[in-house]
Amino acid sequence: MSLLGRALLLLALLAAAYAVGAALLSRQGGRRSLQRSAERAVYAVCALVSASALLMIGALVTDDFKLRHVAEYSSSTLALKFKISALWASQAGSLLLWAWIMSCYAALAVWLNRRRSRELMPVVTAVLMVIAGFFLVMLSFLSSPFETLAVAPAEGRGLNPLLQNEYMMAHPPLLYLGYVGLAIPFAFAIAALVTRRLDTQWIGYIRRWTVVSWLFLGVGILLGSRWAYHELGWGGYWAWDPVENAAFMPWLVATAFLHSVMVQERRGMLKVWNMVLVILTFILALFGTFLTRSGIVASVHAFGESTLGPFFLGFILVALGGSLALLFTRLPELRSRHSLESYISREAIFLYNNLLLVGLAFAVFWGTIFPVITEAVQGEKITVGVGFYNQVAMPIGIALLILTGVGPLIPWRKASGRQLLRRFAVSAGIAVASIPVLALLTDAWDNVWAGVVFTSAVFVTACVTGEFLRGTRVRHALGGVSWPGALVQLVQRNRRRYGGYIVHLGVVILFIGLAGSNAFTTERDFALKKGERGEVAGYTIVNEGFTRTRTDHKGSVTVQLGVFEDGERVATLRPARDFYFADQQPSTEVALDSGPSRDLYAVLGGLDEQGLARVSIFVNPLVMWLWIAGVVIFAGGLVAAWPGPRVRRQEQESPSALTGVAR
Amino acid sequence: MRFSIALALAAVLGGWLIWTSIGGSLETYASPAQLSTVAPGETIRLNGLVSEAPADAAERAQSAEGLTFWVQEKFDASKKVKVLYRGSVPDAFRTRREVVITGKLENGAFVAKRNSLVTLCPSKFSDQPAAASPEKDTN
Repeated sequence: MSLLGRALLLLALLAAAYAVGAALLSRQGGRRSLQRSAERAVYAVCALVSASALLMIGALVTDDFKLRHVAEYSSSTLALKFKISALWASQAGSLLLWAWIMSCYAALAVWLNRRRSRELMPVVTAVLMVIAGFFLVMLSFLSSPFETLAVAPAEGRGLNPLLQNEYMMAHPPLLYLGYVGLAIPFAFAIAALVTRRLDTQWIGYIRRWTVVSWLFLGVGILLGSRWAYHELGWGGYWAWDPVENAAFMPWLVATAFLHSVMVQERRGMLKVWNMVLVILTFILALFGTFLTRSGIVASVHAFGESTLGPFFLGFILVALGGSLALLFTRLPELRSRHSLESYISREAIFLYNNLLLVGLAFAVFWGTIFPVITEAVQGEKITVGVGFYNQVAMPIGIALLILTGVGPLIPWRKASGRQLLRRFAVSAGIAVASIPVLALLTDAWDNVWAGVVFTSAVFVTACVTGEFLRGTRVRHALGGVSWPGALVQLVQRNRRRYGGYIVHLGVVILFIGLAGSNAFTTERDFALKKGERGEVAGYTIVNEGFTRTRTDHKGSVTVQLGVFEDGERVATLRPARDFYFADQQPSTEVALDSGPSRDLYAVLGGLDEQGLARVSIFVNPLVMWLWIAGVVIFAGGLVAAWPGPRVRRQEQESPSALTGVAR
Repeated sequence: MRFSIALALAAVLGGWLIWTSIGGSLETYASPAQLSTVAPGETIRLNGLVSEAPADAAERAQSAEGLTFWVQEKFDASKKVKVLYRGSVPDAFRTRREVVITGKLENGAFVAKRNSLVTLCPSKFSDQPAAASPEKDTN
């Protein structure tokens, strides 16, 4: 099994190396057959890596403890689904997952473009296979998942209990689908630079890849937060931990790119900037992997120090240096067709949005590597606290939120004062009118920052809804279709635009959740005997007794808490504490009562001999909206990325049609 | 031209925001042995091993008195500092586990910020798990 796995990976490496050579050689004299051979090699890499990954999954499922990976991260008692997800529990396993996704993406990209972009594809193939090759080298020579033990143990050590849940089954693969997907736009950008085909065509090819990778990355991040919220028991979902930042930075820069690319398509501006963003996004995705694998920055995830750091750093530096040098030599060909005509125009707003997003990414980057820098410069490791991130992210976030409403309504090139007044008067009026309503009927304005966020949210919702209304009205008047029919038609005819607006509405919901849960959380500790009660944020908590259970695996204690508001029972919480005998480790089981206005979140610290339960209760307002926002953003992203029937047909007919339609 | 002005303005504003934000939030990493060199009142991220974790750590950390435990230097058990902690205790908290705690030194004891205890788990994600794992002794 081990030998076969290693052989498959080595063969994949050889095939990748061949693909690079053949693809590059095919550029000389346009040898199509050689490029076709390179493309077949890409499919072969995909098949070989898939086979090795499936082999590893097979080993996990059949408890082949001869393999170190299986012995260290699985056990015969583990549920089947967790045996499969143990694939990415180890470093070597997660590298294998990366290589697997990379090779499948590469094969898909090559296949989708097999009849078009003949000039770009050889370089794209070569770049993708170099990246895949890098991971295959690591898997073959540095950190093999198929390493064997001298003596196979009778039982494996099992999967960390924290990882035994559905979120951890979905979060890492989704994150990787995002990270790795960003390699495709990167490869196309490099190909455009190498071949000097610097028009907007390459951008048309990668638009959908970028949206989909961006979506996966975003949903992956959100699922990671949800996992932390449900499993870790500290009442929060985001801690600006280096590993969280590692995923957040490429997502921010990719968001910037998704917007600025429209300026290039429409006005032929920001070409250099877009190249920089594409390169930076992929470099940051690599850097994220490096951060989590190298142990260079202490983190909650703290995967321990690994030997792969220098290799990763080397690869990142080569990729960054190489791409920037290439970009530099092509600068004269990337000159803009137009210049910025006004500070108040669609392109200017996109520019501001980009500066804010990239600025935030830079601040996060700076904060993340700060300890490394101070240690190198001062010999003292100094880090920045959560306060730094919040202080920077809050104003930038609010500015971005407002722009999600302003951007779509501002015309290209320049806007006159009268235009602005006409387009924003209603939305701004609604926002201003909402202030007293919010202040009187809710607690929204008890915290100024939160108040600003909520009011901005009203403004943006009014702006975006207005856009939908106007479009639907026009369609209704023109076509004689019903109102809902007109709305569906509107979105269908311009998926990218209206999908984007749905995403914007999702962002508004996200900010509402962020503001609510950051500004108004209440946390209290209680020590309650049976029948005793405590008060938190208007709720009365009553200890209604406990149960203890014991199996061969674990012992559990559960405390039942009745939650009352104005004398009426609103929830029953059953926080528990398990103790796993095999790991000699307790496991906190959070009890959660989720609702649209607030989450009640209970953590059991322990239960003493006299039946005194120590519990922490968090009242976290509006957290549910974070997850709802995730769904809305995902739906909007799908609408934007989904190929319409019209586009599909035209793509087949002529390769250049795509850019025209995609606009 | 307008493009450059917007860029320059953004750089200045961004730089200022980062500069002012970084000032108030600095936290210095220190091991128990390094604590003596730290200026009083400075926020510290204490990094070391848990000398002996009480079985009911999570319970104590929620009590009025708080959880008290000792954190020792990684390779020298004689250098240690007493830590007072309140808030949530990670499940992986146990004797000989590496931890990072944010707080301040007060009268020779380390008073931690609420919910700031982080455990580092070296056993599950390094490339040499068997060698790096403190769990081997306990299992």
